[in-house]
Amino acid sequence: MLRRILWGAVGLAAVGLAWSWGHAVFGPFVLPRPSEAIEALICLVKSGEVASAVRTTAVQSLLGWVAGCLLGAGLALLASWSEPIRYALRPVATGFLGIPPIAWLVLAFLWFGSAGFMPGFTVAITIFPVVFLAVLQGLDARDPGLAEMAQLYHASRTLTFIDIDLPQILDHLLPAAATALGFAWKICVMSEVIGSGTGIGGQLATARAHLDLPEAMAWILLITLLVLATDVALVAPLRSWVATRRDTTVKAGD
Amino acid sequence: MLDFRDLHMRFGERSVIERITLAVRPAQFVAVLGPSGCGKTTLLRIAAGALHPCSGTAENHFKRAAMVFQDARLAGWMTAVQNAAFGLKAAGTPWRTREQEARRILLRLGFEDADLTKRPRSLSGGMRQRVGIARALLMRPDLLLLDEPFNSLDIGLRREMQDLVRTQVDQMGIAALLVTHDIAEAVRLADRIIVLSPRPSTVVADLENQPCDDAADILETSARLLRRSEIENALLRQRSSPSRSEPAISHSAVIPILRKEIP
Repeated sequence: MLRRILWGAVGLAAVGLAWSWGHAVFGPFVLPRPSEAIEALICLVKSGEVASAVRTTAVQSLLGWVAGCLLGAGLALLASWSEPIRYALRPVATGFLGIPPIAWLVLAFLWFGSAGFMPGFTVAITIFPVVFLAVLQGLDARDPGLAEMAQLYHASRTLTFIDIDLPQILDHLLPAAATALGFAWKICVMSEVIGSGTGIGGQLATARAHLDLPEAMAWILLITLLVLATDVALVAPLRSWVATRRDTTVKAGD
Repeated sequence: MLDFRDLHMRFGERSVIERITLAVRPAQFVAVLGPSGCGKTTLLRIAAGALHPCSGTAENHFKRAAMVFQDARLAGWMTAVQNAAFGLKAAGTPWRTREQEARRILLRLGFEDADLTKRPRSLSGGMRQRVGIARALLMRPDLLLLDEPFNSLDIGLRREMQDLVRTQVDQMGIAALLVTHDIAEAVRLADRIIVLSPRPSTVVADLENQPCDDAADILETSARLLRRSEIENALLRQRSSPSRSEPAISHSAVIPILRKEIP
C-alpha cells in the first residue's frame, strides 16, 4: 500500500517537474510556474469561488453518473429478459457509444438551453452505453449451474437475484461504473466550458476569456485533485471490494 | 416413496428416456448406473421436480428432497458457512440459526474453525464437495439426490466422501438416489442397483445389492455384474459415435482382463 502511494507520488512529481521545465522553456505566457497556479488556487479557495463551483460541477457529474448507470443497468436487465428487446437495444447502445460527447453537448444545448440539467444530461447519455454493455455481459456470463442450484433449493426469485445473480453482475458493473465516474467529471466540465458556463467549467471559461493563465491552471489543478479524490474515496474501495470477493488466495489443496 | 412409472422424456426430437419404471423406498439407497449421456441426470431433475416427464408418472411422496451436485455448485463470493446455509436461507430460516447449524455440520464433516470463513477458491476439491453435502444435509431431507458427486475427486478422497455420505444417510435414516457411471461406486454404496441402457435409456437390470467396503469384494461383484450380457451391453457396448473427448472403450479388450483376474 505504502509502495503504491510512494510510486503514485513519484508519478505526480514527474508531472510537476515537466510543468516546471515547460515554464522554463516556453515562458510564463504559455505555462505559468506551478507555484503561481497553486497561489491562484489558494486565492480562489479563500474567495469562496471554489466551493460553489465544485458543488455545482459535483452535483451535475454525480447526477448524470447515477442517471447513466441506472439507465444502462435498467435497459440491460430488460434486454436480458426479452430477446427482441436485446436485439433492438444492442445496436443502439453500440451506436451511442460511438457518438462523441461534443455531439450530445450540442443537442443538449439546443434542447435544454444553457442552464439546468444540460451537463448532467450529457454525462448520462454518454456513459449509459458503457454501463449497458457491461451489465449485459455480466448477465450473459452468469453461471447457469448456480441458477439451477437455487431453483432446486426452492430459492425465491428475489433471493436468487440478490444472492446469486447480483454478485455476478457486480463483477462487470463495478469496473464499468468506476471508469464512467472518471468520464463523468471530464464530460461535465467540458459541457460547462462550452455550454452552461456554470461550475468549474464556467470558471475555467472565464479565466480563459481574461487570459488569466495561472487561474486557468489553478482550475485544471483542482479538477485533477477532484478526480484523484474521487478515485481514492469511491473507486478504489469499490475495486478492492471486488478483488476481495474474487478471493485470489491460493487453494488449500486440489 | 419416489415412484416413476413408464417415464418418457424427450428434448425436442431427441428421446432421452423411454419407459423407465423405478421406485425408491424410505431409507433405501438406490444407485442408477448407466453410461455417460444416458439421461441419469435428467432422471434426478425429474425426481427433484425441476423437470416434468413427457409421459408416464413421477410421484414423489418424500417431503423434502435435497441435491448434491457433481461440481458442488458453490457461490464463489460466499464463505463455506454461507454456501452451506443457502438452502436454509431459501427456506426462510433466521440468520443466526442457519449460521449456527451450518457451522455445526461443517465441523462435523471435518472442517476446522479457520476453514469456515474461507471462500470456495481457497478450499480443496474435497472440502468444496463437503460444503455441497452439508448444504443438502442441512435441509434435513428424507430423500438425498446425488448427481455423480464423487466424479471429480481422486481415488482416496472419493472413498472418503463415499463413506461420509453413506454414514450420514444411515445415521439420518433417509433415502438416497445416486446416479453414477462407476459400477464399483454403485456396488460399494447401494442397496439396490438399477442399470440403464444407452440413450434412449430403459431399465436393463434391477438388482438387490449388499453394500460392501472390501476392495476385492467390490471388484468381484462388479466383474460378476459385468458378466451379465444385458449389463455388459449397456455399460461397455461401443458407441456408434464416440465423443471426441472420450475414446470408445473396446469391451472385447476389457472383459477378458476382468475374467482373467477374477476367475
